[in-house]
Amino acid sequence: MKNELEIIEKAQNGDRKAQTELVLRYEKKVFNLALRMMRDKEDAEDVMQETFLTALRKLHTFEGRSQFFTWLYRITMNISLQKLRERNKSNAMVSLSDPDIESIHGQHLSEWPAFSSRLMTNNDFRKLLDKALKELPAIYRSVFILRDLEGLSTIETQKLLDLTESNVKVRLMRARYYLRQNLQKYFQENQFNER
Amino acid sequence: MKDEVKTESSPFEKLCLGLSHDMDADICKEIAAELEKCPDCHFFYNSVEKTIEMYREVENNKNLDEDMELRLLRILNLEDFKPCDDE
Repeated sequence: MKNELEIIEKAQNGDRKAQTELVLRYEKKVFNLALRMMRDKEDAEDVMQETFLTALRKLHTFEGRSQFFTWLYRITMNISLQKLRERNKSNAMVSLSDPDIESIHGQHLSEWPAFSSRLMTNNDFRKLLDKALKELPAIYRSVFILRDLEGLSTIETQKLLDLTESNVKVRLMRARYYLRQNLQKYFQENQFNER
Repeated sequence: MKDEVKTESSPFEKLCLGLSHDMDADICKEIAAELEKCPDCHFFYNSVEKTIEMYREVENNKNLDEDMELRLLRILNLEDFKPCDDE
């Protein structure tokens, strides 16, 4: 495998083979990030196409100060967020509240069911996971996806989304709490009993 | 709702943010102590952890359809530059 910086430099100088190599190297990552954000295959394909069109147009501005995939992710997230803003102008989004530790004490919570393949292949359950992530406002979804699904660090996420460290942390906390509460409801409604 | 976090993290914030991969050792110790004295916190922490695991499981990487890749390369005017499989 060729050195990535060499490929980028060639691509910046207009080498079409090198540009193709970059696209093929990152198409899957970009598509999956877009799919996680958009929650729709066609929309994700649109985002992926726009991402690479923008990336190739702006390739000369990439100075190698960050990793190439971070630069590409930033473009993908900007395009996704823009599209979601347009789409959600008329849609009401859920509002997220801050979790409260006092409400946890004395609730007599119990262990959730074991992580089983039967549960994870249950269609209703998968739909519920998807619905909850879809309902999550984009500003929270983006942080959850980058931190918990893509495995980026807090610093990488804050740079990529132009947020402060506090913003990343609080959005991540609210997103996790919202998603957790949705699952809790499902387990309660499906005879998962508290102590 | 504003996104500002109080300077002093609440126990919940510590519990929830403790699930991050880049958590520092002091927070880790604090969380362990908190979980030991509060069974509900332990179950809560565990359920947030499971939530993340479940999402990781269902949100696994999908492959691009071959048509999708062709459409992408065509839009970028790169379809003639795709290396052959034996290259």
